[in-house]
Amino acid sequence: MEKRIKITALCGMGLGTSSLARMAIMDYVRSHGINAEVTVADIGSVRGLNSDIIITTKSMSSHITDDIKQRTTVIYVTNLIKKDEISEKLDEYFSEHK
Amino acid sequence: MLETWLGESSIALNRHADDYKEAIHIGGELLVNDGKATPEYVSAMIDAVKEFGPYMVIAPGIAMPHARPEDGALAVGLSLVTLSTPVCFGNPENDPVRVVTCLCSTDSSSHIELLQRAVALLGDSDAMSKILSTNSVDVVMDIIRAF
Repeated sequence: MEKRIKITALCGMGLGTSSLARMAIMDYVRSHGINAEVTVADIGSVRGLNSDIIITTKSMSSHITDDIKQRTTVIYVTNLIKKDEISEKLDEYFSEHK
Repeated sequence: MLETWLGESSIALNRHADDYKEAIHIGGELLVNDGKATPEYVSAMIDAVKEFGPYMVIAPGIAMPHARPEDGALAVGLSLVTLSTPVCFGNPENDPVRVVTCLCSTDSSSHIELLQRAVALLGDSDAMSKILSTNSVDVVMDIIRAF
């Protein structure tokens, strides 16, 4: 059975920036036929996450500790309005993790 | 459709703000006057920048301040403020900011349709440059109605 990939969009509150990222991620996984579960989370719950990928903004990088980076791929984006950046970075991830 | 949430009373054009706090205050007051949020919510939006840093500067020149529903959101709401002089939020990639869209929602999902339409507008460079170069709320409303 194909593994379902877990992607979490992370931000300070879990509803603003993360919702924007989630919209772009959903578009990407749909158009690329990727079997993914896409959720949003606030920074407070980052420790308890069990995701393959965390997508967040550079401003949150100080909250992402080394142990999280060790077990999850963390992708930073700066533009949440244009979908290109998230698309490109997900393209990179999926070409490296075939 | 976007005018469902973003009406004339939700818009302030070409305003002056000394800093990001004042900019959030202007946008927040619009939400309060519309009955979408309490004054406490406005303080919470400013606190969020202090606590988490300027992560809500979501694209070059554009900030979307927001706080949690329980911080005082009364309804799903959005306001739009354009600044006469850009202000810095402390986000090196996307500062300085001239467009501030304060957002509030009563839970973590009711605002999604609004967000989708707002992003369509904010991502449209033509529409945004027209909005940034006018003092007329009528002109801006015409643009908003297309989203």
